[in-house]
Amino acid sequence: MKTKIIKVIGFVIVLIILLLITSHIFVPKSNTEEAGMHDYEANGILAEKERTIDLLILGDSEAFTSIIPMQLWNDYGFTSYVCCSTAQTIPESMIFLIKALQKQQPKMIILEASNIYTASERDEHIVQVLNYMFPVVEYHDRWKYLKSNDWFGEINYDVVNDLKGYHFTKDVKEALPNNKMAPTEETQPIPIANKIYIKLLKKYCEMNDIKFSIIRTPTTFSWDYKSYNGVKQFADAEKIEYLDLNLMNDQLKIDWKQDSKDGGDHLNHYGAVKNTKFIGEFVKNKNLLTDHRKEEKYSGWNKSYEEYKRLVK
Amino acid sequence: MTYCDLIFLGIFLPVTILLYNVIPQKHRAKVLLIASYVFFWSISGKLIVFLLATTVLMYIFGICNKKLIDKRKNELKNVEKNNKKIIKERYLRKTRLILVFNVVILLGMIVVLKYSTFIGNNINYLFNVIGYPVNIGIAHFAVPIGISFYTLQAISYMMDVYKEKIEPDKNIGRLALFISFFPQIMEGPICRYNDTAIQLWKGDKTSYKSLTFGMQRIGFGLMKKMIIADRLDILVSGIFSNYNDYNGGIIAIGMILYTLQLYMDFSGVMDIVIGIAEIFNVKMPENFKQPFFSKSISEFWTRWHITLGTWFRDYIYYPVCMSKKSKKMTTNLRKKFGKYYGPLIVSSVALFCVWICNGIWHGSAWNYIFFGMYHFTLILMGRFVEPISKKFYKKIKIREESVGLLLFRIVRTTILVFFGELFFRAEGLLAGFKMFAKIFSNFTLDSLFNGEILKIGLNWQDFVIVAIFTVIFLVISIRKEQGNKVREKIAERNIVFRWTCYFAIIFAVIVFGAYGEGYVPVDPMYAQF
Repeated sequence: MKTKIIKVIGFVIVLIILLLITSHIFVPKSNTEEAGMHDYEANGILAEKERTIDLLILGDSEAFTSIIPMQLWNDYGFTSYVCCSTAQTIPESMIFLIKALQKQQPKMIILEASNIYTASERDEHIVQVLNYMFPVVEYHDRWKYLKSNDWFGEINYDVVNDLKGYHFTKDVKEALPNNKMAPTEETQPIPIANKIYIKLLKKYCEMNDIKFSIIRTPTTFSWDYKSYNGVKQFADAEKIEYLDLNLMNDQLKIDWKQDSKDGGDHLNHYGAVKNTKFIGEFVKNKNLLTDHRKEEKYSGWNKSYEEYKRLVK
Repeated sequence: MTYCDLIFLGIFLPVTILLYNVIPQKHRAKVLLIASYVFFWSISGKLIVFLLATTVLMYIFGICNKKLIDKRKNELKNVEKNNKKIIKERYLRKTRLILVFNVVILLGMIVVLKYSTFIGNNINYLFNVIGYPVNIGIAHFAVPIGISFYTLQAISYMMDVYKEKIEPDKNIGRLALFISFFPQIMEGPICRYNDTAIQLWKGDKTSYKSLTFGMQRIGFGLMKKMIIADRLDILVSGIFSNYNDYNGGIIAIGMILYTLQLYMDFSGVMDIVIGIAEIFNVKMPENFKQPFFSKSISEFWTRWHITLGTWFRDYIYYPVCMSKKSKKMTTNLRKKFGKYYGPLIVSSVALFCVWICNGIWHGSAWNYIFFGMYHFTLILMGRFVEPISKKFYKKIKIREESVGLLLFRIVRTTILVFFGELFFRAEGLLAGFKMFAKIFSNFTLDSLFNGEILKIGLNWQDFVIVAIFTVIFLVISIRKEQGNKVREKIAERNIVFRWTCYFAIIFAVIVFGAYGEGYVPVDPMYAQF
């Protein structure tokens, strides 16, 4: 019996060692799309200098199209990064946060509320943990494209994303008016797993002395007053600050005729500028973040801003 | 939750194995029963009520039957020999009535849930065609996963009790576990009460051997399903959904690859299922036995989905063949058509019943019925020409066991199977015929050379990996066909060799499995039937 237990333990140890070795082979050696990095814009956070990001944004596509870190830099000198990916689930947000905190020590984290109602795939929770612990699971399909550098090369994440995770587009598609934000008593229930994850996110932030807020960016599509009620109730119960910008359009002044790229689901650059301006003021009033514009350490941000300006011109 | 999900393999199964082994033997079966209901709830939710109803029905049937048997025995004790036959027949009528009543309820459930839309649509269509337009309201029901499988198990239990092959079970827990055991509930194998009920309830502890052998089998199944079947899904779906856009060559490739996909998916899941059962020291019947080495369609169906074939044989084919009317007809026809063709004509009726049921069992669509009739025709033709072909081979002096003839028959059977699967997978019977026609009217292999085949979701690396693993499985199948027990052979080797094999399986699945970004999860294919 003892020998069999030793065999089982030995087998597991060898398995873990092999998983780590193969993970090193399969993980992209650079943080670029060409190198095979998934969500390379969001993973651009890995190329940022240590302890330089003060504000981190988590969420899905609604967040990466509506918050412009370079505008926050230019207007307030805040360093921020949009760690958001298409259809990002809350468990994914959690993993992005853990990855980001390995090098960064942000003072504030904003969770964009869109993915709070996204039910995770049945395996999502385990998959995310495995992807994080053993990247061979996430990048296994790279067997098709492995090069000699993958077998013996060093991992080097140094390609800076000048837009800091923001996805820029000037496409315009008018959104038709609707009555989704008309007040109601009804409440949209949040999936239990997501509630647990948000509580974990909050706890994780508290442990790391980070301010945690939830913000819903403007949309006319996948959001209504019932959704607002659901998040509001949960946020109040958990003492999390929650801001729904769909109820504040008198201040934001989003023009749905020209500020959306796809008929109301996502903002375009024009809408994102207005949205970022509002979020900038909101963050500024917290007095948590500092203006780094004149600091030498952040000179790269000025270069990125030039690149951003050239792009959005 | 399905058998290939991480949540199943990584949490549900290990927790069940752990709980099963830490508690005393007398409670182990209860762990399996609870786990089975949790699993069924996770895949079918409230529809679990149909599974429970089936279990209760089986139990009540058994109790009623037992009472009648006991009563009959008592009565027989006190009567003269001449009256015994009358009493036996009286009781036989009663038990038959109860059997029919219960089977009708079971079949009624499946007909209403699974076939009412199909039946309603066809009635509406028929009346429209004959000029009396009607519009029967068609209700759409949610169908419990596995209903086609567990209903057959329930019927086999009732039939076996009726025929007094088995004693009615007074233990409703054992019956419940027999019918709901979580590894088999989605896709079978369709077990008989004698196969698994006693083993399941016994609760033998997991041994080192059962654990390692079970896990090897699971790994083997995962390789088949995740590396080949799931990888091919995008290409097969692309071709069958948009067959109008492709030439006959691509459709032929789609047909062949679908057959490969279905085999790897279904037999892979069976390996997983049987492997899981093995961990709990339960030996389940095999469902596949190297089907692509079959020399005839008849033989193919003794090697493919074996438990379904034997079910139809035992509960449809034999009862029809052995009925009084059939026997009488056989005697008459034997005089007219001889010893071979006389009984063959009668058995054809039974065969027809089997294959119409087989087709309908697979799904509520005409292409499934056609699939059944296609195999019925091929098997019947095979039986009718068998004496002629034997004479022919003898005349041209070809030995039946010669390698060349064996290979020819294997290839011929495989091609016939491909065409059957084309209709099986086609999105409707009409689509099946159109695809079939295109293979002959618009056949070209240009797409293999001009790169068109690489634009349907798979690149050349995918084809290479499918080819490599198909060859690996072919070699293993040849070894098994030769009578080699591959797992036993591996177990006899030293630890370095064994572990190398195990790690090779694990990393083959991790690296070459079709999962994660860029892939859509594919549920076990037979779970839909």
